[in-house]
Amino acid sequence: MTETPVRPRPPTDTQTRSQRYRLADGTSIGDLVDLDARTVSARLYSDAELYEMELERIFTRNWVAVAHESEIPRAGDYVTRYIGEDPVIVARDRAGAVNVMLNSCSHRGMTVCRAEMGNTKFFRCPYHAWSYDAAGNLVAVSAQKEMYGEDGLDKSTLGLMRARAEVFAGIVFANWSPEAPSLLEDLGEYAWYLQMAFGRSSAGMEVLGPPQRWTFDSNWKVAAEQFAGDAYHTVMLHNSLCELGVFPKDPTAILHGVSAGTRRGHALRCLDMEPVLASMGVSADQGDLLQQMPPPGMTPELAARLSEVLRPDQVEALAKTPPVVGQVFPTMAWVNMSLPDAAGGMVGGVITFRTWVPRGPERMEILSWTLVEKDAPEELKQATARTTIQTFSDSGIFEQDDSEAWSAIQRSVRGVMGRRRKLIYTSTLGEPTVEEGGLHWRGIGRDDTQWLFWQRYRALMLESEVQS
Amino acid sequence: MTQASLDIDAVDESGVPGVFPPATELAAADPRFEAARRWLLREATLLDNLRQREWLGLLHTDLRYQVPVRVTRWRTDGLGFTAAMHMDETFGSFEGRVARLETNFAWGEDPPSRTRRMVSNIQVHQQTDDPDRLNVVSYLLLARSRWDNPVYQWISGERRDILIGSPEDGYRLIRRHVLLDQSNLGTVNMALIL
Repeated sequence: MTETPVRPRPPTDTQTRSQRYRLADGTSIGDLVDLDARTVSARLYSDAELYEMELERIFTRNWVAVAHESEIPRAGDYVTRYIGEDPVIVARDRAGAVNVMLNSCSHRGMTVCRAEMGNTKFFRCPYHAWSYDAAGNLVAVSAQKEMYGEDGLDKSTLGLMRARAEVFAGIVFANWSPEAPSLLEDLGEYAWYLQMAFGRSSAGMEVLGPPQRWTFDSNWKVAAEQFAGDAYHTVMLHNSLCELGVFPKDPTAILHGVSAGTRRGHALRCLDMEPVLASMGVSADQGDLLQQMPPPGMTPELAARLSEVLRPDQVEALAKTPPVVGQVFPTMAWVNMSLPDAAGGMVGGVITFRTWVPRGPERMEILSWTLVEKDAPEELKQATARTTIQTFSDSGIFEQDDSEAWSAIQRSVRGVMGRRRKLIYTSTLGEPTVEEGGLHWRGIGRDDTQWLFWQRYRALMLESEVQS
Repeated sequence: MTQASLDIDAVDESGVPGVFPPATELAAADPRFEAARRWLLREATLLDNLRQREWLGLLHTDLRYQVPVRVTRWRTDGLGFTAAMHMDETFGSFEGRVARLETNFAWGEDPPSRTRRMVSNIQVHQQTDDPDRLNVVSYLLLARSRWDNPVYQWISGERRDILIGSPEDGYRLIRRHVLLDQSNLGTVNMALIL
């Protein structure tokens, strides 16, 4: 099996360090995210030169979510996805391992697998019939002797280009860089939360089918920075739901909670359940809260078994300040929240993760998965899926307003003057407290975790790391 | 009124979700065919003219409405429909969606898209076990114009509907599957009713 490493290219003699971190017009990339003023240059949303650098400096060196392992439960199952603009195959081999490899034949670059999902013993390239197994090894070359002679071709060196693949809480991540830390090291303290959201039962979660996909005019970071902790927008952009009584009219009820994140740009919001429960007539010190309001997609019986996989402090956090929305840097965002469906019914809750796939400087594709607890009763699974689709999806009553805003932002920052704008991230709760779950800010959600996103972005574009 | 014939969760032998109950095709001259045709045209007129509240009047309260996600598959693996959904709706959820539009804060469709629903290839069958139920197939080509963008967002697909009623009393939609052609939708969202 062959590994083709993707290494950061150090500055060369002809390309000095300062050139490497400047744009063609001389602008310093570091200045685009102003650490002192806490502003971000709107140029980051449309610049083609920066976009090419992102594909290299971010998307080849970070853990990018590509699938849920329940999409490919059996040996030979596969789906096709993207890391950055590179198409990849995500396949389970006979040993049960998940493999992620470039969907491009080692011979002449042809797309080896042109279906989005299926099951196969081999991936046979349609062009010249080179065949690869589910781990990407080149196992057969048509007319090999006639074309290359007895020893003319070493198949062992000609497998598909492989990314590292790791699974956490059922979610498959891939990383092209052999130097990057492991997924668990990268997640760090964030894993404590991500497990609460997606890996809280011994049976685990499963997807209800493949992800929705839709593509529109907006830079991928417009969505990413929002999911990194923009609680503020909910009270205005989603005001229709306050008007309908789906969300409380008093914005502080939604904005109050804990923002958490890490220096690697992972971010999330935890909801303070006390006012939520109070609005349902449940007192926070009244018995087992998780029995009265189980986590999304769970029955009280399933909630009673949380301690089978979660630690006591995680179970307690799920009851009092559950993580409800967040993002793993750079592009895996998620929602795990009890919300009413479009009919106003409170059943199931919302469980989704999604990825922002860059499709050019001014275009992105969203892949959005709907998940349920494997052990949940069928009726609850259907209700959870329906609530998720009706709220956070291409047709969702929340998300259809988000994607509208994202494309509108794109329209207004792409012009000459728009590109000169500085986007404002000055609202802060001050220095975070450092605890087991990472960096914490308690109170009304401000810009602090979104700023973690931009700090990490800036560091990666300068090929460095955020200093704590 | 029974729901027994609503086999919405079944999948036919070619992998298309939602199985129509046995039925007999109606000739275009049949009054039920004409009533179904007019029903479809009226629906398109209402939806293209922002009269969603009136459109609710065309629905049966037991409505189930689904738009499955479609993927690219090998020919031998079928037509690519999946259990995942772009929309999974009821009468109640559409009431909620229409009420949301009326709050004047539903930004995804405010300002609203200008839309044109072209409905064609209509086939009408009368269900064998229930003469009040029609299986109606139509093709939908929806042109969506947003803002000042001269490029249309297109949605195309086949709709498989069950209408219940009679030519005299009118028909209501009790079941709809919209079978889309794109695996990756080229539209900013699915804020429209298909």
